[in-house]
Amino acid sequence: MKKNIRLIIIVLLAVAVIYLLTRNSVIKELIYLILVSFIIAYCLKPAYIMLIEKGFNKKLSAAFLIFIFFIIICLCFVIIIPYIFKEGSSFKNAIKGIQALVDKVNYNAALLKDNKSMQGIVSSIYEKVNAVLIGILNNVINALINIGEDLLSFAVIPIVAYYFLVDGDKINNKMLMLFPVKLRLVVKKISNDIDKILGRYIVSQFILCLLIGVMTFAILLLLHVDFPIILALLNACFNIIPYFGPVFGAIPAILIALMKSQTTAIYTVIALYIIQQIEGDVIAPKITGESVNIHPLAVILLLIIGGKIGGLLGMVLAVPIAVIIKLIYEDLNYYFF
Amino acid sequence: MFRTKDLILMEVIDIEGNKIGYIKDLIIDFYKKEIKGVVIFSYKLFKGNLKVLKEDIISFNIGMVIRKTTEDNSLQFKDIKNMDTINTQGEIIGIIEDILFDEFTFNIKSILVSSGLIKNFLNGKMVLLIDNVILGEENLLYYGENSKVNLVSVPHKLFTEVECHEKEY
Repeated sequence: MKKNIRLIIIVLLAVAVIYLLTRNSVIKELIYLILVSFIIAYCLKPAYIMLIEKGFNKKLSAAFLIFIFFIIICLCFVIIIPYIFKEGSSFKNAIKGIQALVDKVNYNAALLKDNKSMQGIVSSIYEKVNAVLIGILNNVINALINIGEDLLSFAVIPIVAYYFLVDGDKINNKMLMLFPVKLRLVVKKISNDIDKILGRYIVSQFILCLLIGVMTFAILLLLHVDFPIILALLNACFNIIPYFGPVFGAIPAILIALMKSQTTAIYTVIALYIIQQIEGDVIAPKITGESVNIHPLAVILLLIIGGKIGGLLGMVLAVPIAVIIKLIYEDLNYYFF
Repeated sequence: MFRTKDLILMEVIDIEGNKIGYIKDLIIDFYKKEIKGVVIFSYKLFKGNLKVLKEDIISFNIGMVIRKTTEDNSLQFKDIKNMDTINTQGEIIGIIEDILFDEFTFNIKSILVSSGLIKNFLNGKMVLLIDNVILGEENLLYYGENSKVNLVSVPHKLFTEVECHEKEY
C-alpha cells in the first residue's frame, strides 16, 4: 500500500513538472524545433535507408539528403516568388478576369431577378470571399514572417534533422531508457509496428502526390491553362489531405481555366476528375496497400476535427496521428490479453 | 503458441532473395483444423494478392522464406474475424478476435473470443478449444459450455509478455 502511494505521488509530481515546463515559452520553442526536425528526418528516412543499402557512406548520404531537401525548399521560395511577381501583371489580369466573370454572372442574374436584392446578395458574397482570401493571405504572410524572425531556429533545423537521420537508432535506444525495464520490450515492439505502417503510409502519400502533380502539370500544359507549374504544385500539395484535398487543389485550377474560356474550364474539370479516379481506384490501393484501414467515415470526422484544431496543418497531421493511436490501441489490446 | 498478429506484416522473400511482399492474412482450413497457408500482399504492381501454402514455407523468424506461390480461394481469416459466437442456447457470447495455433505444425488449437471491453477486463477473453466449436455460415457455434473446465485469457501484466504464470503478491 505504501509502495502504491509513493508511486502515485511520484507520477503526479512528474506530470506537474512536465506541465509547468511546457508552459515555458523557451521549452515550447525547443519542443517545436525538435518536432519539426523529427518529422523531416522521419519523412526522409526511407530514402536514407535506400541509399545506405546501396552502399553509400552513412554520414555522406544523410548530409546529401538534408542538403537536397533544403535546396528544394529554397528553390521553391527563390523561383516561385519572383515568378509570381513577374507574372504579376498577368496575375492582375487574372484577378480582373475573375472580377469580370463575377460581374457577368451578376449582370445575367440581375436580368432575371429583382435588381436590388440580387445585387445585395451577390455583393455580400463577394465581400465575404474577399475577406476570406485576405485572411488566408494574411495568415500565410504572418507565418512566413514568423519563420523569418526565428532565423536562428531555421538554421538549426537542418542540423538537428541531420543528426536525427544519422544517429536515429542511438537516439531511439536512449529514449527507450526512459521507460521501466520490463516495459521496454513491449514499447520496442509497438514502436516497430508503428514504424512499419507509418513509414509505408508516408512514402505512399509522397509518391501519390508526386504522380498527381506530374499528371496535373501535363494536363494543364495540354489545355494551355496559365500558371501550370503553380497550379500543379498546389494540387499536389493539397492532395495529401485524403478526401477534401483534391477538391481544394482543383478549385484554383478551374478558376484560372475559366478565365480562358468556358470550354477549357469544363475540360479541366473532366480531366482533373479522371486523374482523381485513376489515382484513387487504380494506383492508390496498390501503393498504400491495405495496411492502414480506417473507415472513410472516420477519416472525414478526423479531418474535420483536425481542421478545427490546427487548420490546414491539422488536417494533414490528423490521419497519421489517428493511425498511431489506432496501432497503439490494437497492440495494447494484444499484449494485455 | 502463435496468434495472427505474429505473422501479419512479416516480410516475405523467396529462395533467390527477391522481396515478394508482406503477409496480409492467413488461409484457414477449419475441417482439418489447421492454417493452410498465408496471403501475401505483393510489392509488384499488378500481382495483387499471392497465396502460399504451408508446405511451401521454408522457414520464418523475423521474415519468411518461401518456395513458390499458388492460387487458392479458400477461407481467409478476415472472413471469420468479428463473427458472432453463439452457444447452444442461441445467445451471443462474443465475437471472434483471434486464432491460436501451434507455431511449427500450424495446427489450430483454439479461438480467442472477446466479449466486450469491460467484460474483457473483468472476466478475460474466452479461449474456445477448436474441438468444441463448429463454424457456420454466419456464426460460430460453441457447444462446450457444460464442460467442467473453461479457459480464459485474463489481463496479465503488460510487462511480462511471453509466459505469465507468475503472480505478484
